[in-house]
Amino acid sequence: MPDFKRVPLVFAVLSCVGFYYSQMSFPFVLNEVITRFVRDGVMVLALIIPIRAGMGINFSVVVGALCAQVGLILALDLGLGSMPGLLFMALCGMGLSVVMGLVIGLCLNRVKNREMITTIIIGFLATSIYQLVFMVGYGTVITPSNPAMMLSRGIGIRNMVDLEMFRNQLDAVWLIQLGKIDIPVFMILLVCAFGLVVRYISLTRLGKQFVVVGQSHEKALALGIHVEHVRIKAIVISTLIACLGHLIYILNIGMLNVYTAHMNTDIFSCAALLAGGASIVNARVGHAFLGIFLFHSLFIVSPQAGQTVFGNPALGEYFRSFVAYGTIALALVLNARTQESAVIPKP
Amino acid sequence: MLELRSISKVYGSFSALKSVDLSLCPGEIAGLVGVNGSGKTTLLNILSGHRVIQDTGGHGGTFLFENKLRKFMNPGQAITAGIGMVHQEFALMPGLSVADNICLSRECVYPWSERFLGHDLGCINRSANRQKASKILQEIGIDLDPDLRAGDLSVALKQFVELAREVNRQGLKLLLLDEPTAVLGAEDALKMVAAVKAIAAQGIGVVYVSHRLGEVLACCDTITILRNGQVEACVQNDPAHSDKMGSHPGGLDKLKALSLSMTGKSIKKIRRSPMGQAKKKALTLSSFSVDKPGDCLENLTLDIFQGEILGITSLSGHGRTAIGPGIMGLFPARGKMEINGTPVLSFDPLGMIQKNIWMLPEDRSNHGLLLDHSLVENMTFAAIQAKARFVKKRVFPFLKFPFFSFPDQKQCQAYARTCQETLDIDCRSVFQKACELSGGNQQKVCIASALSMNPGILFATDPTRGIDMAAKEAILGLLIQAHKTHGMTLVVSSGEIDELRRICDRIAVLYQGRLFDVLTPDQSEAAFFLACSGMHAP
Amino acid sequence: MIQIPQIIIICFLVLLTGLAIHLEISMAWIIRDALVRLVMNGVLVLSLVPMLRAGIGINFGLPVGVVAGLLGLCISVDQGFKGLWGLSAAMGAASVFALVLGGGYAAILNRVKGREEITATFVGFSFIPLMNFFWATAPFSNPGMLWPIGGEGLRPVIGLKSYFAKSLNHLWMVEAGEMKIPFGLLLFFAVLCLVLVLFFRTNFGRAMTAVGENQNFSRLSGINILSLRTWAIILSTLIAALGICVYAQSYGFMELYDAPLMMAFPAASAILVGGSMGRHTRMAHVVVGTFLFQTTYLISGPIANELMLPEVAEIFRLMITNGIILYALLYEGGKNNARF
Repeated sequence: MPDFKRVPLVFAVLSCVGFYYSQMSFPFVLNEVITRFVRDGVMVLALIIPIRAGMGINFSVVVGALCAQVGLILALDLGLGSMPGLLFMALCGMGLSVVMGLVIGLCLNRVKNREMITTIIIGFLATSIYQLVFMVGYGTVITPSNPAMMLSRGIGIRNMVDLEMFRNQLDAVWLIQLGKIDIPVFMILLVCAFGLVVRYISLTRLGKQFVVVGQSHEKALALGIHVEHVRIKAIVISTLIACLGHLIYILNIGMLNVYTAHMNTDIFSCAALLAGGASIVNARVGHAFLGIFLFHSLFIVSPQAGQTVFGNPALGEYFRSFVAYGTIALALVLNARTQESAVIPKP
Repeated sequence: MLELRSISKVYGSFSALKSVDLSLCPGEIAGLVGVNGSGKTTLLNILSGHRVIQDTGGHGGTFLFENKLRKFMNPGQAITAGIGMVHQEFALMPGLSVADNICLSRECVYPWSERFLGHDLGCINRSANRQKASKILQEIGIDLDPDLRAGDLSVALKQFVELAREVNRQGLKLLLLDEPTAVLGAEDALKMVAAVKAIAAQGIGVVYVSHRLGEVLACCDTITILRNGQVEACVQNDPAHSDKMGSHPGGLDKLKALSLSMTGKSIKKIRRSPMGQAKKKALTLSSFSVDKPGDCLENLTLDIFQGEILGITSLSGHGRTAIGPGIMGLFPARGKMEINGTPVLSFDPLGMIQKNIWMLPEDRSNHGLLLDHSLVENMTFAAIQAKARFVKKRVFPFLKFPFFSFPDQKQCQAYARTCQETLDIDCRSVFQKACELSGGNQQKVCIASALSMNPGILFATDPTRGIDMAAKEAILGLLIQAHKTHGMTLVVSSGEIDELRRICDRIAVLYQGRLFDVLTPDQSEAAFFLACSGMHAP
Repeated sequence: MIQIPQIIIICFLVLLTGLAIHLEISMAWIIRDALVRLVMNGVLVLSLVPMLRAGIGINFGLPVGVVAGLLGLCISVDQGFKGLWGLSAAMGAASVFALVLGGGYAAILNRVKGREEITATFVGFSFIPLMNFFWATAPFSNPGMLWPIGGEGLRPVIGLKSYFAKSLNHLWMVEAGEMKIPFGLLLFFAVLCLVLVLFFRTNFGRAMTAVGENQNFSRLSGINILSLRTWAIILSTLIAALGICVYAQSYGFMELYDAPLMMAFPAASAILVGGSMGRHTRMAHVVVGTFLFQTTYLISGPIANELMLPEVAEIFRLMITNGIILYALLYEGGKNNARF
C-alpha cells in the first residue's frame, strides 16, 4: 500500500532535517537511539499481536507496564536484591499481567469495534487505581516492610526509587565500543530475541488464528475458531510482553519514577510502530524495529533543532508531541479509507 | 448416519421449519431443493451449528448424527463432530495462499515443536502443507498451483478451494454444500458434480442444496423438496440415468414435476388481469450496472412502460434486489437511463426523488423506517425533507434558512390518520412507535410514506418478505390499488414468482445480472424456473 | 435512566454530603458553588449533544472547540474589552473560529465512519501541540498576556480579573439570606438549552436525529448525510467554544497550552452519568449528569483536605470519570452483542 510506505520515508526525511539543524554529533545521536532501542524495543513489539488479531492498537499496554512496576516495588519492599529480586519482580509482574490481560480481554470482547477507545480508558483507569494503591494505600491500609521507600509524611511511596542494586546487572554485559559508539550487544540480542518470539508466533497455528480473526469474525466462526478465546490470548500475550518490556526499560534507566514512568508508554510505542510503516490492521516485527529507529531519532533531535531554528527548545518538544499524536491520528484516518481493501498481514 | 426427525425452528413468531425429516447413509448424496424462504438455509444452519440457531432459542425435534443426539453451540463443535460446510459466501482468507487456506486450522506442523510447545504453538511446516493441498486438489480433480494467493483466483476456483478445505478435514463424515454451483459456469459445474460424486464415493455423506435442478438430478440419490418449512416430497433418484440436464427424455418432466412440488398450490386471493401492452416508455435502462455486494447487475438493458406493473425476478445473487437501490443511488451505479426521453447520467437519491422516482426497500427495518419514531413521523419524514410537503408556513418568509422550518403537525397527523384508514393499518394510534407494529403493518407504513412522495415510478423490492400469509395478500392488494388510484408505474422485484404472476403485466427474468428473458404471467411455473437457471423452455 | 452508574454516583454524593455536614462545611456555599459549576461545565457538556444525536458518538475531540473558544478569549483580552461586553466579544470571535476549525475537524471525522471516537481523541490530542506552537509565538500585544521575561509567547495561565471574570456569574445575582443564586448565569444556560431543544424540533434538527438513528433511511429520503454530519460537528464545536468562554469567566483564569488536553473526558463522563445512551440524549441528561458529577467533584475537595489527603480527591475524581466511561462502553457493547 503506497500510503504506508510513505510514512517511514517522511519520518526519515524529518529526522535528517532535524539532525542537520540540531547540530548534534552523529555518534551521540546514534548512542541515544541505540539506548532507546534497547529500552523501548520490546514494548513496541507488544502492540503487534493485537493489531494482527484485528483489535487495533492496544493502548492498555500501560497496564502491563504498571504490573512491572508493581513487581518492582514489591521486590524492593521485601528487600530482595540482585538476581533473586530480578526473578521475583519478573515473575510477579508476569503473573499480574496474565490476570490483567484476561480481564482486559474479557472487557474487549464486549466492545467489538470500539476496542481502541476502550483500551485508552482502561489505561487511564488502571493508572488511577495504581496511584490510589501506592500513593494512598501504602501507609494507611497496607503496611510496608521497607519504610525507606515511603514518603516523609508516612503515607505513600516515594516519587523516585533508586535501583542501585540492579543497575549495570545486564546492560554492561558484552559492551562493545566502536570509537565513541557504545553497543550493548547482550541487550540488543535480548530485544531481537523478543522480536524472534513474536515472529515465531506468527508462524504457528495460533498466529494463523490471529490473522483469521483479525480478518473477519464470521469467517473465523465458520472455520471453527473460537473467536473470543483467540482475542483474549492476543491481549494476554500483549500485556505480558509489555510487562517484560517495561521491566527492561526501568532497569536500563536505573531508577523508577513511581508515578510517571509508565506515562505515555502506549502513545510513543504506538507512534514508533506506525512510523515504521505499520497500520491499524497490519503490523510486523520489521515495522517495529525500523519504527523505533526513525521515531526516536526524530525525538532526540527535535528539541535541539527547535533551539537552533526558532531559538526556543520548547517548540521542538511541541513538534515531537505533535508528531507522536499526529502519526496515530493519520494512521486512523488512512486506515478507514482502506478498510475494505486493507492489507492482509502476510504470514 | 444422519437422522433428522420432526425438526422445527421458530424465529420469534415466524416458523422457518415446521416438521422436517431427513435421513442419510454414508456415501449417499441427498439433494435438498425448495424456493427462497422454504427453510433450506435454516436446516443447514442447524446441521452446521451456526450460532444464530442457539442465539434465537434453539431448535425442536431430534438431531441424530452417528447415533448420538446432537445440539451444536457453534460451528467448531460441528466441525469436531465431523460435519463440514461449504458456504455460499466463501470463508476464504484472500491474503493467504491456496495451500494455507486449504490447511487452515489443521496445518501440518513440525512434530518436535508441537511436542514442546503444545498444539497451538507448533511451527507450521509450509512444504508439508503444500503437498497436502496438492493432494486434495488432485482428489477433487482440479489443477491449481497451491502457492497462488487465494484473493487473486477466479470465483469458480475459489469455490473449489472452499470445497478442498472442507474435504481436507480429518474425520469428515458429512459434507454440507450450500449452492456450490451458484457461481460456476456449465463446464465448472460438471467438474463440481464429479468432485462431489468422488467425495461421496469415499464414504462421506453429502447434503446438496441447489436451485439448479438439472445438477440435483445428475448427482443426488434422494431429493427432498421443502416448501414453507415442511417436507413436500422425498423422491428417489438414479443419477446414473441423467448425465446432462434435459438430455434424457424423462429429464424435463422430472424437472417440471420438481418445480411444481416446490411451489405447490397457493391460496389465490389477489389476482389482477394484465392490461395490454402500454405504448409509452416511462424509463429505459441501458448498460446499467450496479455494485451491490452479493447481488450485482451487469450491463442490464430494460424498458419500463408507462402505467404498467413490471415484475423482476431471478435467483438470489443474480441481481433482482439491485435495481431499485441502484437507480436511487444507494449503491454505486453506472450506465445510462432515460426518463421520458431525457437522459440521466448520475444516480443519487435527491435527484431521483425530484424526478418522481421512489422505492420501497427490501429491508424495512434498516432502510425503510425510523423504528424509534412515531408512525406520523415515519409517514411524513421523506416528504418533509425532500419535497417540502407538510411544512408550516414560514412566519418570516424572508428567513430562508433550513434551520427555521418546522413540520406542520396538523397536516402530518391528518395524513397519517387518512393512511391508517385507507391502508387498514392495525395500530393503537398514529403516535405509536414503528417498532411496535408487526411486519405487515410496518410495510403498510412504508407504503404510506411512499405515497406521500407521489411517485411516478415506484420500485418495490421484496415487498412481502418476512410477512405472514394473510398480510402478504393485503400488501399486494394495496400495491395494486395504489397503482390504479395514483396512476403510477410499479416495478416489483421479488423471488416469489407466484405473487408476480398474479399481479404483473410482464415479468423480466434476470440471470447473472443481465436480462435473460421477459415472460408473461400466463406462462408455466416451469418456464420461470428454467429461465431463472438460465435455460429457455423448449 | 437509573442504572448502576447513576445509583453509585447518587450514593457516593449522599455519602459525601453527609460527611460534609458532619465536618461542618457551609451548605449555602456548597449550593451556590454547585449551581455555578453546573453552568460553568454544563455548556461544555451540552456541546456533546449534537454529535451524539447525529450518531457520531462522544466528542472526544472537544479540545478543538475549546481552542476555538480560547482564541476568541485571547482576542477579546488583547483588545482590552471589559465586562459583559468583553465576554460577548469573546464569544463572537470564538464562534467564528469554531466555524472554521469545526469545518476542518468535520472533514477529518467524515472520513472515518465507524471510528469517530478514537480518531477524534487523537485529532484533539495532536491539535494541542500544534496550538502550543501558536501560543508560544502568538502575535498578541497585551503585556498582561505575555511572558514577563522576553516578552514573546503567551503565559500558560492568564488572569481575567481585570477584564470580564465572573461577569456572567454576577449578572442578576439574587441574594436570599445566606444563599446567593446566580440568576443571570442560570438563565443563560436555560436559554441555551431551550435553543437546542427548539433546534432539534426544526426539520433540520429532525434530519440530524434521523441520520443518527438510521443512515440508510435518511439517505433514501434525500438527505445529504455528509453535510448533516458536518453541521452537527460544527454545532458541537461552536457550543464548546461558548462553553470554554463561560468556564473561563467563571473560573477567573484562561488556561492555555496543555490544559484543554483532557477536557473531553469529564464532560463525557458527566453526560453518561446523566443517563445518556448514545443517540438517546436529552437536555435532562446534560443537566442532571453535570449536576451530579460536578457536585461530587466539589464536595470531595474540602473533605479530602480535612482528612489530610488532598491527592485522594483528584485520584477519586479520575477514577470516577474513567470508570463511568468504561462502564458505559461495556454496557453498550454488551447490549450490541446480545442483539446478535
